[in-house]
Formats: sequence, structure tokens, C-alpha cells
Amino acid sequence: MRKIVPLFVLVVLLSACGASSDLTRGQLYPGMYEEKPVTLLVMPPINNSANVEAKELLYTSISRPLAEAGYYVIPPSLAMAVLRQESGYDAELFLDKPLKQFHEFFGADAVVFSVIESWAKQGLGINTEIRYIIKSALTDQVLFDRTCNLFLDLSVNSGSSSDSGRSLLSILVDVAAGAINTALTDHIEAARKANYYIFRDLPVGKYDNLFLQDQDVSTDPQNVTKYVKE
Amino acid sequence: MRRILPLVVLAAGLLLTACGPTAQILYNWGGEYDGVTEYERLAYRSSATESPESLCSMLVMYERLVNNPGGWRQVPPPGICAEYAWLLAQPETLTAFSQHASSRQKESLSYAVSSAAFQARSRELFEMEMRLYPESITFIKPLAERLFK
Repeated sequence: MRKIVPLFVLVVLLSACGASSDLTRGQLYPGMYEEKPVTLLVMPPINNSANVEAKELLYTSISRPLAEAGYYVIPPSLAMAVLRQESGYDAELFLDKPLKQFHEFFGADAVVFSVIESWAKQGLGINTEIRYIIKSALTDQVLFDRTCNLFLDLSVNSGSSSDSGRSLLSILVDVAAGAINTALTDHIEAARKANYYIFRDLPVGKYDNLFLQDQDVSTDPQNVTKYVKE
Repeated sequence: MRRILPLVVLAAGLLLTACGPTAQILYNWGGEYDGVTEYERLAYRSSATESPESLCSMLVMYERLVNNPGGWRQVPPPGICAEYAWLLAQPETLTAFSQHASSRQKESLSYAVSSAAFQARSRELFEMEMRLYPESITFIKPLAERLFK
């Protein structure tokens, strides 16, 4: 018994921590620790999807997770107003260009680019594929690069215990409710969930009390695929 | 069983501390409804859906966020003071608020609904942003100077 209990404790610890890869933040994002960016400028998303609203919807959801990770984020509505005036609304024009001008004008240490590859209703859910790239505004080095392919399942279960025991009507009710749910649900929810999986491994910034102390925290692989049931 | 209990408690304690950094909320964003914060819901409506009424709600929301900081840092989130200041400096904001805000919304502001009071509060908020977040000075200071020149 004495031998079993510590073993049980160890197994519980290892399984509950859910370490999903052998990588750490320090290994995957060394540039973040070298350059220690404080101020981030979020560029309008680059939209390669067929959803015309995706650009604005995603932009609304980016600044909060970054601020909550301890960074100063240039106020998005002010940045957007200035970028529109200065023909900076099309972020794709700057992705591979020197970014020093953003450091000089906004005081940004790094620039956050997002690329929407897919954002569409698919069956009874929403499928998004979003890539985030954080580039240094001082050295143009890529500090962070991660893609999340996420399916947000919005299907509704009416409560029957198993498909075999359900009536045709019950199944039809679920299908109809799922369709309505997909139509009504703000697509921003899918973006928020994708943002969560992308930014949860971002090294924290100066306003978080773990600043420069999180190099050894294990991370998901660089690119993640998630299925999320609402 | 009595011998095992302390170990189970120890395991639970380790679980809470050993799984990397614990999530802490740094700021108050106005509470969430349906997974979306009040800030996200109001501040980032697309321009097509903006109305004088939504502008009034936005102003009240910003005032609340600035006056009721929360989270671990107990200060308004980055950018909030500057966005609020910028909104107050726009002439159309005063027009919309004077004409469309409810009496309750007007009472919720800590200043009068007048051009002078809006300008004064705006300057104060720009200063607050730069004091709380000194790294914002590069962008905010020239912006405020252009608005009030």
C-alpha cells in the first residue's frame, strides 16, 4: 500500500497537467525573451476567407487576450483610425516589409499580424483557421507564429440519452435547433476560442507577474487543431 | 484510510500549483454576457450598426470601466482611457449624448454634459493613460496635442 499511494499521486499529477508536447515557451519563442516587447500594435487581419465580415469580427477579439497576457496594446480603435488615414488598412502590404515606421509612430515594439485562412459555417458549426504572427518592429524578426484550426460545434442535444433510443422527432429537433444556433451565434465566439488556443502559450508581458519567469512552461505544438463543443 | 487522506490532500494541492501558471484576470472589461465582454460588445460594433444610442451606451461603459478597475492590477485596461478620451474629444459625441442619452445615462457621468466638461475629461483621461502606461506616450501625446491645438 505504501508503494502504491505515491505512485497514484505521481500518475494523477502527470495526467492532470496535460503537458501536450515536450516544448517549452523558451524553446518555441526565444525571440520574445530576447527582445522583451512591451507595446504591441495589432494590424487589421488579412482575410483570405470568403467571409467578408471576418476581418472586422476578428479585429474586435484580439486586443483583450494580449492585454490579459500582460502587454500594452495600442488602443485598437485609435490604431484603426490612424491606419485607415495612412493607407495602412491592408496589413498584407507590411507583412514582409521593415516595420520600423510602426515603432517610430506608435511606439510599438512588435506588430501583430493575423491571417484568416478559413472562417465559415460547416454543418452545424463554424470552422476557422487563423494564423498569428508577431514580428519585432525593431529587428523584423518573427517572435511568435502559430496557427489554430478550430471547429466550434454548435449542435444542440435535446437531452435524450442515446441515439438508438431517440425518436425521429427528437433527432429532427436537434438538427433544427443546431441550425438556428449556428445562424444566431456570433462568429466572434469561434474567433475567441481560436485566440485562446493561440495566445495561451504566448510568453507573458511586463504587466503579468510571471514576466520573464515562464520560459520553462510547457506549450502545445506550434500549430494546433481543436474540436470544441459549445 | 486516515493515512491516505493527507496524501490525497497533498496531491490536490500539488495539482493546483504544478500545472504551470495559474490564470489570473488582470483587468475588468465590464463583465461577460454570452461569452462577450461589455467592452467588446459595445466598443467594436461595426460602423454600420453604430447609432447615437450605442454611442451613449459606449460612453457610459467607458466611464464605468475607468471608475471601477478590477482584476489583479486594479487599473483600467491598456488603451481604455485613451479610447474614452478620444471619443469625448469628438464634437459629434457631445451632440449625440445631449440629444439621445437617457437621464440615467447623463447622471452616471462624473461631469457635466457640456463642451468644456467633455474636453476637460478628455485631457484628464489622456493624461491618465500616459501615467498608467508610460510606453503609450510615443503615440498618445502627439495625438492629444493634435486634438487640442
